[in-house]
Formats: sequence, C-alpha cells, structure tokens
Amino acid sequence: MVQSKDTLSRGYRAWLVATAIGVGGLTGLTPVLLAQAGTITGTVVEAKTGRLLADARVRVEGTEVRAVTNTRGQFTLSGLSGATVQLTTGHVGFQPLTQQAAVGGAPIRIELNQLAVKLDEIVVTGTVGEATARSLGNTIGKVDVANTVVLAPPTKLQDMLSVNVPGVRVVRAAGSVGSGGITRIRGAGSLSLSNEPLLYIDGVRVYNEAAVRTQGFQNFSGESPSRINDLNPEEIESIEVLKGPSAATIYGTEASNGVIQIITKRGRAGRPVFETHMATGATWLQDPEGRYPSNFYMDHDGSVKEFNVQKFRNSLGDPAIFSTGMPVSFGGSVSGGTDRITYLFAGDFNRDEGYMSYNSQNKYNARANLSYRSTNDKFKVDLSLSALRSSLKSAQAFQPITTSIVWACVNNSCRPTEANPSTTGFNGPGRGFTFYRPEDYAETEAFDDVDRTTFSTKFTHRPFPWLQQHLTIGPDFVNNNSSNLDERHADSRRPFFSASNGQKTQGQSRTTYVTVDYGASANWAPSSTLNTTTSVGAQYYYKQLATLYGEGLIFAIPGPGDVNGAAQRSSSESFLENKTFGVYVQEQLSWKNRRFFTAALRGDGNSAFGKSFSAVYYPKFSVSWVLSEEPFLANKSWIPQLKFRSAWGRAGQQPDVFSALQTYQAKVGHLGAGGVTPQNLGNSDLKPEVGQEFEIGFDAGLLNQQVAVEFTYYDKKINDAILSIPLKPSGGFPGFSFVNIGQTSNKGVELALDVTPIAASKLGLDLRFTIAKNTSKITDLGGLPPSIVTFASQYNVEGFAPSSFFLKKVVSANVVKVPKEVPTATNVMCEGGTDLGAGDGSVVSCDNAPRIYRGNPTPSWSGSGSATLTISKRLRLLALVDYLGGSTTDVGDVGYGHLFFLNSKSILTGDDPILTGYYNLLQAGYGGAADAAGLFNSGFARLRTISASYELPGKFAKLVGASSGSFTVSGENLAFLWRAQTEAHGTKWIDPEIRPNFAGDVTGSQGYAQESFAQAARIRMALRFTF
Amino acid sequence: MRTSHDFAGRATVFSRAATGLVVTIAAVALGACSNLLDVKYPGRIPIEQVDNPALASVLVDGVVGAFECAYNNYVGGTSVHSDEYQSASDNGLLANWGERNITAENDDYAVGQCEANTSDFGLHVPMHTARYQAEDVFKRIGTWTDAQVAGRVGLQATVRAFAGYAYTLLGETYCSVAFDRGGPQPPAASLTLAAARFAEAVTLGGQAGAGSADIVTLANVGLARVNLNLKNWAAAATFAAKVPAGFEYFADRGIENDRRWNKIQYFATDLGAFVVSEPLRTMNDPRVLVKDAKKPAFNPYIDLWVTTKYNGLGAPIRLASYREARLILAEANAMIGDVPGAMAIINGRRGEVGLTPLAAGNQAAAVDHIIEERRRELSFEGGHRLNDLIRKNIPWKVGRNPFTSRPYGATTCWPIPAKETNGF
Repeated sequence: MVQSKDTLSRGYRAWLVATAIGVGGLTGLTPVLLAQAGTITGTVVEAKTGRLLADARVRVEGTEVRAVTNTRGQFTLSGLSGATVQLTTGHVGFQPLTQQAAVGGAPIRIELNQLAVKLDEIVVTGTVGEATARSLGNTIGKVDVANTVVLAPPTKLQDMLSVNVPGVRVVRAAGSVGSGGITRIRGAGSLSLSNEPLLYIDGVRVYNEAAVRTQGFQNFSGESPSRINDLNPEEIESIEVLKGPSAATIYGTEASNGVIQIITKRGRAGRPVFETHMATGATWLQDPEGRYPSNFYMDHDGSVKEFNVQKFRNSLGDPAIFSTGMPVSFGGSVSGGTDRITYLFAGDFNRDEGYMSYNSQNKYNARANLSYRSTNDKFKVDLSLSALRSSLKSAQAFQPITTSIVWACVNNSCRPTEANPSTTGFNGPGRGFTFYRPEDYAETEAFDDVDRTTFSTKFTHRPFPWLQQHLTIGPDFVNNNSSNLDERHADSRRPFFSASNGQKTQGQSRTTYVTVDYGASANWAPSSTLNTTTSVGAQYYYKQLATLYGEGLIFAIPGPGDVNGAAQRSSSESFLENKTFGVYVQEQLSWKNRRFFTAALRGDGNSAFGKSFSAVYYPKFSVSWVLSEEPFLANKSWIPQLKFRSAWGRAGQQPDVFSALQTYQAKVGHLGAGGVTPQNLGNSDLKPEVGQEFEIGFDAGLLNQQVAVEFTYYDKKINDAILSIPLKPSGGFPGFSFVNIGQTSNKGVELALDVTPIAASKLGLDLRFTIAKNTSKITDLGGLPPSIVTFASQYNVEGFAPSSFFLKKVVSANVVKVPKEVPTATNVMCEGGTDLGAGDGSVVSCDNAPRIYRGNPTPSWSGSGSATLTISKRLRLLALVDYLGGSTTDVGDVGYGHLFFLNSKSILTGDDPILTGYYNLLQAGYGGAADAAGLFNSGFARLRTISASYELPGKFAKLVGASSGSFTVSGENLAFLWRAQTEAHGTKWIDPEIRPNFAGDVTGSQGYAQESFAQAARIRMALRFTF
Repeated sequence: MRTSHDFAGRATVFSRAATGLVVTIAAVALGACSNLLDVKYPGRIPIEQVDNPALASVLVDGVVGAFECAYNNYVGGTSVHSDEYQSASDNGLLANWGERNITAENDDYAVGQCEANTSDFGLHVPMHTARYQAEDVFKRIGTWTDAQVAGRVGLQATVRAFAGYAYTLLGETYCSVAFDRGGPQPPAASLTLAAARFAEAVTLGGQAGAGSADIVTLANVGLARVNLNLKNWAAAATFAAKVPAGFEYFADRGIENDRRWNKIQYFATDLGAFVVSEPLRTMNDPRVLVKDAKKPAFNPYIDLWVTTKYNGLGAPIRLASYREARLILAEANAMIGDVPGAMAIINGRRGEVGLTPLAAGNQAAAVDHIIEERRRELSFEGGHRLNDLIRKNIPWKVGRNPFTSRPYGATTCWPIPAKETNGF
C-alpha cells in the first residue's frame, strides 16, 4: 500500500507537471482571432453541444477560397473582397450549412447539425483501404469513443461496446476489479470453438482472449480477466464492429464471429494541443448484508434459526468485510504537427479499487502515434505504438471470501449440540464463516501482471489517382506474470486446505501475434456514372502462446514463501503456434455514387487444417442503394436519408490448434523415467467451420434529420460446425476428437432508433434506443446423440440453442416432516415430455421423468435506452439503461445452498414442496437436482449510467490557461429497474449480472455461477482540460 | 494533358495485371505454403515417430508408468468409495467419491487424468489408456526382432503382465466392461482376458530368463487373483502357491511430478477430503495402519484420521504380494472344502502380528474370517476391499454421511461412463 501511495503521488506530480507544461506552452500561443481586412476567421462547432469540430471544410461560394478547421475548430479565409460573402461549411456526418458572413468582421461561429445517417463517414474495417459507409452492403457498428468518454466514462473498454452497438453484447463476468466478460455478436454459433470476435487495433490483429488462464484468478468463480480491457479508452478515437461473416469475409478464417477494430487517436496539423484529464470516485457494494441472503440451520430442538454472518460479524465489532474503494486516474496527451507530420503522445495512470480492500489494479498506458505524408501526397506512413503495464491484485486468491459468506452454516455446522446449546459453529474459531475468515486473506496474495506492447505500421501509397496500395505490419506482444500465494499458517485452522502449509503457484505466459496485411485497389470509371474498384490483397497472421507454470507446496515457516523454498514442487509448460495465409480479390461497381455492388472471394490456408484439407474459400456479395438520392425520393424532407443494404458472405473459424494431428506425448514413466502415452487421436480431414450469413436492412434519417433508424435482419449459419466428440476411452486415446459435422443457426433483428424531440438553441433532448433479438438453434448434430457440455446439466441438442439447460422439472410433491431432520418428500411428480427435449405439460413420476429444456445461458434479447438532455449547450445530463433478457443461469450459490449444503430456510422448514421434491431427486442420485433448484431467469434492466457533464465557460477554463474544460459526475450500477427473477425457492441471487467466464471454457458457454462478486456501484468525478 | 480515358485504359490494364499477378502469387503461395504454414509442436510426438524399435524400452516404461498412474487413481477411488473412507468435504467433486455418488455422467470419474492438480481419481481413461498402451506396445514389439531390441521377450512379458492387471481391475469392480470402442460385456470377460495376458506373461517371462522372475511372480499373483474372482478355486490355489514368501511388487510413486503423487496421501492425508472410516480406527490390528492426525479435515469441524500405510506423496502402493497370495490360497482352500487349511493360513499370519487365532466351524464362517483378514491385510491398497464388497455382497455404507449430513448414493460397482456409451 505504501508503494501504491508513492506511485500515486508520483503520478499526481507528473500530472501537475504536464499541466504546467501545457499552461506554459500556451503562453504566447493562445490564438488571437482578430479579423483583418479581406479575411474571415471563425470557429466551427457542433450546434447541439458546442463541441469544436476539426476537419470541417469552409468554402466561399463562387470562389476557390476555402479552409479546413484545425483541432480547435478554427479557420481563416483570406484574400476576400467585398463586404459579405456566402460561406458553405461541411463536415463528414453533419448537414452542410450555407450562411452569409461579413468580410473583415468579428470572428464568426458556425454551428453544424449532425446528420441522422452518416453516409459519407469513412469506414476502414472490412474494406480494402478506406470506404464510405454509403458503399457498404452490411451494417457497421460504430462507437464514438472520444465523445463517449467525456459523458459516460467507462470503467473498462468492454463497457462501451454493449450499450452502443445493437447486436453486440458484452456479458460481464462479475464485479471484482480485473474481471472480464465474454463478447457476443449476434449470438453464439460455435459448439466447440471460440465464439469471440477478432480484435484489431489500427489494422493489426491482437490477442483477444476473453477468459485468460491466470494464477491470479482461481477458475471456479469464473471471473477471469479479458485482454480487451488492457486497452485505455482515452487513447481511442472510435471502434468499428463487423457483426458477422457477410461483413468480415476479407478477414477470412477466424472471422465468423465478427471483427472489432479499434482506431486510436492521431494528431492533426496545427499547434500542439495539450489535453489532460483526471478522475476519482468511489466503488462500493450496495447493501451487502441484505444482498447476501441469510443462512439457516436447524437447532437441536428442530427449530430453524436464521444466521447472517455479516450481521454477526458486526455484532462482534469486527471490521466490515466490504470496504469502499477509491479509484483514481489521470493522464494527458499532446498532439499536433504540420501538414506533413503529425504526432500524438499520450500517457495515463489508472488505479481502480474494488470493494475488497485487497482488490485493485494499477494500469499505466502510453501511446505514440506518428503520421507522415509525402509532399506530393502519394505516400503516407502511420505509426502506432502502445505500451501497457498492469498490476492487478485479485479479489479471489485461493477462493474468494464470498465462498464463506454464501456457505455460512454449511450442513448445519452452526447447530449447537444438545449437551451444550451454547456451542455453535459461529461461536467457534470460524465465527460462522465456512472455511475462510476475512482476516485469513491477509496471508494470501493473488496477482496478475501484464506487460503489453502493440505496434502498427501502415504504409499507404497512391502512385496514381486511380491506384492505392497499403501494407500494414505489426506485432502484439503480451507478457503475463501471475501468482497465487497462500502463506503457511501459524495455527492449525488450515482454512486453505492443502495450501495451509504454504502454497505458491506462478504462471508466466508470452503471447505473440504478428500481422502482415497487403492490399491494393484500382479505380476505373468507364463512364461518368459508373465507377469500378478492383482490389486484391494478401494477409499473413502468426500466433504463438507459450506458458510456463510452477507450483510449490509446503513452506518451512509461516509467512511468504516462493516456489524454490517449497518442499513439493511441480512445473509444466505449453506451446501453441498457428499460422494463416490468405488472399482475396474484390470488385465493386458504383453507379452515380448511390448504387453499389460488391463481390469478393478470399482463400485461406491454416496450419491447424488437417493434412487432407489444404485451403478454404469464402465468397461475398453485397448491394447498397442510397434511395434518398434517387430522383423519385430526392428533396423529401420527411425522409432526407434512406439507404437500403443487403449482403451475403462467408467467413471461417479455424479448428483448435493441433487438433488435426494424431500424437503421443512424453509423460513420466516407471521409476520416474521417460515414457510416452497416447495424447490426441487427431482428424486429418479437419477443416474450418464456415459461417454463412445473409443480412438485409436499411438506414434512414427521417423528419428533417430528427429521427434516425437503423434496422437489420440477419440469418447466420455455421456450416461444417466442429463438434468435439468425446472419444470412447476404451479406444486408448483420451479426450475428444474434432469433426466437421454440425450446423447451427442464429437469426435475428437489430434496431437502433435515435430521436431528437427537442433541438432548441438552449435545450436539446436526444433519445436513443437499441434492441436486438437473436434466436439461436442447433440445426444439425450430424446424427450424433445430444452431448453434455458441462457438469451443470448443459447439453447440445438438435433444435435448441447451444449449451441449453435440460433438467427434470418437479411440479408437485408431498412433504414429509420428521422432527429434527431435513424434510423429505413422497409422490414427487415431474413434467413429462421428451428426454433432452421439450416438456409437454404432462405430469409423470420423477423417477422416469425426462430432462426437459429449461433455458440457455446466452441472452436472446439485449438493448439499451438513453436520454441526453443538453441545457444551454454546456450541461449535459445522461441516463442510460442497459437491458438483457432471455438468458438462464444456474446459480450454485442458491441451488447447492438449498440441496447440498442445506443452509436455506426453505429446505430446512419443508415449506416449499417443489424444493423438497428436488431434494428427494438428489438423494435418489439425480445430480441435476441442485442445478434445477438454483435456476434463474437472469434478465434485467439496470440503470447503468447517470451522469452530468458541464462544459466549463471559457473564463473558468482560462483560469488554468486552458481553452476548454469539462467536469463530469457519473454514477454506475446504482439501481435495477427490472429483474426477471430475484429468488429461487426463497433464496435471493446477489446479482443477475454475473456470467461465469472460465479459462478453458473455449466456447464461453458455461452457465453455472458460484461465489462470484456482484457488480460494484460506482461514482466518478472527472475533470478534463484542453490547452 | 491527360484524359480520364488515359487513366481508364491504364487502370484497366493495371487492374487486370495486378489481379492476375496476385492471384498467381496466391496460388503459388497456397500451393507451396507447406513451409509458410509449418508450425512447431514441442511435447507432441507424431504417431509415426513412436514406431521405432530404438524406443522399445521407453515404450515399455510408458506402459508401466501409465498403469501405475491408473492404479494409483484406482486405489484411491476404490478405497474412498468403499467403506474404508468417508468424505469430509463439502467440495462436491471430491465428496461424491466418498458418498457413493459416482455416476455414469461423472466426468471426474470418466475422463479424469492422473495428475493430482487436475483430477481427483479419474478411473476410466487412465485404466483404458494403460490397457490400450500395453496391447499396442506388445504388438509393436512383436513386429521387431531380437536384433533390433535387446531383451525383447522380457519387455513383452512385462507389458503382458501389466495388461493383465488392467483387465483384472476393470473386471473386478466395473458393472460391465467395454474394450476398443466395442459394446458392453460382462466383467468376467475382462477377467478372462486378464488370465490370458498373465499366462502369456508367465510364458514369455520364463523364456526371458532370470531378469523377468519378478514379472513371472507378479503374473502368478495375478493369475491367482483372477481365478479367485472367476471362482476357479483350484487354479487360484495352484498359482497362489507358486508365490515365494516375502514377495512384494509395488507400483512406484514419486514426488517429482504430480502425475506420480500417491493420491490417497494427497487427497485424504494431505488435503483431508476423506477421513478413515470409524470402524477401521478401533481395530487395534497392527496391519491396519491408521492414526488421528490431530488436525482438522477439509471441513474444519471434522477430525482428520489418516492411514500411515503411506508416508508421503512418493510412497509406493503395493500391487501384489505373498500376503495377498496367502489370503487367496486360504480362500481357495476354504471354497474347495479345506477349512482347517484355510484357517491355518490366516491364523499363522495373525500369530505373526500378535493377534489371537480365529476359529471357524464351517466354510461360510471361514470365508467371513478370510474376508475380514483381507480387509485388514490389504487395507488401502489394490481395490481389494471394493472387490470384496461387490463379490461377497457386504453391506454398503447407507443413510447419511455423518460428517456432512448428505445422503449416500446408490453406486456399487463402477458404471460404464456415458462418454464410453455415447462417445466416438
């Protein structure tokens, strides 16, 4: 902690120094916008918010005089004559504005209104080079990060994706600092491979593991970190999302789950612009005593007693388990340049603290982005270099403290003896906690450190106006060092089991991604109305993951120890390598810049393909039609913008690395000598899964740009779906064999609606709603029987969503109460139907009852709603609601508490016949009973963010020498508006927004949650200045 | 001044040329990308490399090592499943083993591996891997010559003996068995195969000479054991009688790798997930090596009782012994009708350890005594107790586990795992 304070104070000093430099640097540099004869000076801003607009084009009508605004939105037009001129101002994504201006007058302020649909916005993802949005036949999700971080500062990068792009859903794993979550775009279709989208930063593919295997996080609670959160939102300009195979064809193998591209900020020509920001706030767990349900035990007289371990702890005067974290962050950037060279240097320190005193993360991010443009504009180089150092202290250690809270009074351990009624479990050394007491965590430390460097170099060459070629090269290096230390305990209580004599696990991994991407495009205009673009390209991707693991058990003395000093040591290593080489060709026809047809073909080879399979080819076709520019719709004020789009395409997902090979492995043999043993049966015919997608939709700006609608219907299939079929162990080879025999389907609709009901000069109201519905189904299992996915009763069954829950469903039971015993039941009846199929509503004996469909863990509904009220262009108030529905979670905290640990009221009183019926099933050997007793519909609508952001008046900003500044107060996760289900059989679930994220759960389909931390409530205050 | 047609014409030419060039390059690259896409896979041995006579001894070490790891899991799993241990943990995965809750769907049982850090007592995969490996290596060695492989016949005897034990263990405690992805068969089929493998081991070991003497004796104990299970009493007695006094054969264990850790030591003694059952704590028999560890079990409110038969993670586990052979001989004699001869054997041993002799007036009483002697002499080893519970219909632990209050399940013999039934 002392070290952290030092770090913090150093960071503050750095910030102050940076600020001082900024202020000092501005002395004498502050622009003096004094008009001169024959000139017009001014500033271009966004009308709604007053935000300064760089790169706006200002043109004097009837002349060749024009200017482009700098980073402060300023422009100067010179060489003018006459008293007044007509100025036309344009900016991508804004409505052009023509107005009169006085020559030689005072500086003017030009206010532009946004277009509802940004048809001419440049898109760089899924295209060869740059393309305008109008030419694309598929929808592209876009997040304006630079603007969003001001109004609703995210805790993690993942948080920005969920609520901004319909069809994209990040499902948070848990609320501890450092935990990640899975990202799903248009559902999950892969039955045995990853369902995560690819991640690119400035054109290079980067490590995107959603559930990192790290020693800092024990796997059971499913809170593994996600590498996407290494990135610093402050460095990002925008994020583009390709949602499926029809858009991601040119990314080829591995892209069937979609692509997320992160575009970082770059400098613009002009004087240096200094930007600084700092934030602090609080993180806490709301209502901890009420959130965690009380536990119960049966007293020796048979009465059922309540025990709340937290309240009991408070009554003893012991320190509270949960504390208030105080996150703090600060950083800044300097950017600028000339017409030829631009630069941006940025640095950030971010310390996040959770509501466990030992759970925190220090992140240091640095970035240097440089661009060079040759004097003849034919050659351009964009360099991006980012570095990260992250030190994360996990809330988990050996097992989280939540374990001991949830399972307090486990199996009647609080029950006093008849001989001595005062002797209870909570009067003993454990004080009611099962296994671990909060103070035991002083002797543990779990950390996860990451050093990451990502480098991208993009060469763009335009030898002729009709020809462009680019080459992007870059690596992403991630070094991860993680550890879990349980010190040797001095007493004999041994809360950490075998680790009580001391245990340390240490893991190191080194991940390398390398991208080489070449593409060329040639334009040809056979006529004045027709334009063609021919593109070709080739890409090479390299991935390597090397890990080293060491463990030491039993230290000689209490206190910290290392692996070297342990009496028992073990170690292991792994090495994975994968290579992809692909080429593509694409042809695009454009008619009058409003009708577009695109066809493309990509071919890929991959080192993971079987020997008998050399290459795969992915075709694509798309059309885009800007109807609003057709004569029959032109100038219609009620529908000023309308674009129809449709696309069909394929992309792949490569098999698991090495799964095609038949191998033995070296294993220690007799007397410790070397031996070999069967490892992998292999499949020489293995090939990639092929995602095939059709989408159709439209983008419309309506009612004088007051309403924007984006609608898409999609139909995605995964053909040749790879199934990991368990091998019959009697065949001698353990594990699974991967075969291409399945098919899955994901269909759905996505809708985004933006409405601006109030757009007055002093008051603006913007509403945004997104909703996405996805229906997921396994359409073919290749004739194989349903397969179990996890131990938590999840199966892949034809006709149902992947990894659905199939469980017996008790509908009635007669409770039999026996004094001083846990009640049992007779005549337990279940719903009938088809085993591993649908229930039919009939009632049958549970002895022979089928396991019927009870839900699936992947949300089928997701959406968001936000309202932004802008007052006097300076104050913006935001309320954002995040919605997720149609998902089911098996909550072990509840189900196993009921049936396995017998510490709930309902199970001990027998007042819930259905629950007691499940208890009978468990006793009869049906292991799924505890899962059924803890099944939750995990839908919710949560007030994700409320914020107030105030753009400081210039005079206040100038007090610190800044040209502008803002102050934002925001709150996160402060309330639920709706929960689909709050309790199961009388026991509450702490938070429906817990979705397990297990390292090793390749498909990310695990639906069993246990002992996780609830989402933290947060308040944040942020201050930022631009100089 | 250039016109747009100039550009257009050049664009057409370039476009076609570029497309053709790149497609050609791509085709060549894809066709010749075997190097481009080559990857390293350290730690993975392509199957072709295994078929090498120079590796014969490594392959045999692999067979023995695979069996030892399977046997280690088997001893631990059968011991805690039988009445030798009770679960002392609320960890569901572990507790199931000691509460008769291992079902066909239980993956820990079905596909768990040997490594202590990643699996509890995975029985099915390790045992079948060992069995398959023994059969596979025997065939491979059979295709090689004595000139290629030194001591070839002795190596064959070794792998045959361990194949025999794999079949024996599967046949003793599984409800039904399946081999080489085939359908289910009665356990006796496995025992019959075991007898055949042991017989070959004896023959080949005899041909190999003195260096294989221990393997021959090991196979003779195996033959006695299998014939006892098959109720071939005379044969059982014959083979048991061939075992010399003092013979013991251990499955080696070691601390250097968690694949070789003694799992009873790890999960029961060190982790405290299982405690020795109460009846075994008070037998006052020096052969029943148990003690109060004077510390809490996995669940801290339970006292930890452990066996001292194993004194660390590297403690070897007895696979076959003269003591076992004597008990087989005693039981075979009793079943043949020689009750006095049977009682003489067990009382002789009781006298050695300072216990009073037992009396039996009839065959049934003698067998009861022998089973009890087996319980003591062979405690915590070999899966013998579970085998006796099954073959002698000895009552199982029923009701509730007194340490966790959870009810015992209904599992007796090991079910064929669902992954075996539904697998590929």
